[in-house]
Amino acid sequence: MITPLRLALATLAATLSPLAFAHASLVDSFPAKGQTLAGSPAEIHLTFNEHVEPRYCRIKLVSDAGKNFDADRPSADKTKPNAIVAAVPVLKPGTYRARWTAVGSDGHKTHGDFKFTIAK
Amino acid sequence: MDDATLAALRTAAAAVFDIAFAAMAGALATPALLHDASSSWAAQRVRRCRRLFTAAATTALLADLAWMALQAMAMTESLPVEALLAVGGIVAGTGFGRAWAVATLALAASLALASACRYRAFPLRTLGVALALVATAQACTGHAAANGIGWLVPTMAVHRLATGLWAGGVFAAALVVLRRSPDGVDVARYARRLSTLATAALSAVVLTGAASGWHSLGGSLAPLEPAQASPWSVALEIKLALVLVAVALGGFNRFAVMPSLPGAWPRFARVLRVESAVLLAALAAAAWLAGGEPPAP
Repeated sequence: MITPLRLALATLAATLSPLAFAHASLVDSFPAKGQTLAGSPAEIHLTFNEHVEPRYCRIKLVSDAGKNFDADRPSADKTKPNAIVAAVPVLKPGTYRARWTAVGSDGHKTHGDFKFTIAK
Repeated sequence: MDDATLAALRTAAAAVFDIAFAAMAGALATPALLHDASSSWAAQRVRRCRRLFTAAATTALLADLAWMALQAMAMTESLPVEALLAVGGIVAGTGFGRAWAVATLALAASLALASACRYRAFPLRTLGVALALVATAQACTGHAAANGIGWLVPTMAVHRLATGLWAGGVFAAALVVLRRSPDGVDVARYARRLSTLATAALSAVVLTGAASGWHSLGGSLAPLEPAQASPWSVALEIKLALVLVAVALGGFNRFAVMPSLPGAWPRFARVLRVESAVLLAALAAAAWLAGGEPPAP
């Protein structure tokens, strides 16, 4: 609940740097975090809470064995706002960590990762 | 260079830019505050303000260029030379790159104009328009423009200008205006006008900050919760404390010292110097916050 005291704090917090709170963060993905797929995905889709610059975003996949797979350079996902899509190589069954780097509309870089599994 | 070092250097460049931008705004506003002063003291102070403007514009331009070089290194994950070659692509391919280019051109034009008018009348209005353009372009480099929220861009531009006028008015007074024994009538009038300008600018800073903060927080004030303690929230608390101290010092000068002017001008100047140092630290903390990562709600 927003009380007058909290609103006053927010106002003061915003003074001199009002947009410090917003940074690009992942809100949805395909494959989803922890999802098990029947086969290798052709693409990875990442949706953010704000516009990102696809040209400067990166997606890497790391298998459980520590092998790296670079996804293609991401492009804007035309089906969803604030989303990017990148083709990935054919992946063997196993668990993968998707590591992403996004550059937000103000040039700020954010990082994150999530795991998904391809069933045997 | 790793991401953390690049981020720290970018924050330092942003802090230098913000401080220099404020000094430019203050150096432009001060001659307007002294426009009808007739003493030789006032004429000399106006000349000093011109030099302050040129020095501040040069500093802002260098900080702005350094910021983009560091930004390009971070975005392309490449070495300096390769990153510099990528600046053209960043300018052409991203919204914030284009806005940065507009701000940089407006800054360079201000510097060129100020240098060209060294021995002629200073074009205060033209330079004021150029500063407004820099503030608007800077507002477009942030989140305000990215998500199509039209009202946030002018709000942020006003916020930047008002912050510059508040802090810059104080900087100019402390660094340039109140350095020598002033003319009694002129200094009393100048102090009254400076105080009115600072009050109006502070009101605009708080109003525009509240409007954009309300939007940015999106109803969640979790980053302000004590449980979310992090370096970012500590910096936020430090900045809030510094802003409150600056406001208190300004209030003290207005209500306790100003009625005793011109006799009390040395005390008025001392308080302004302390306020100036506090605002400098507040702007540095603000740059750190703007570049930092708030704790997740």
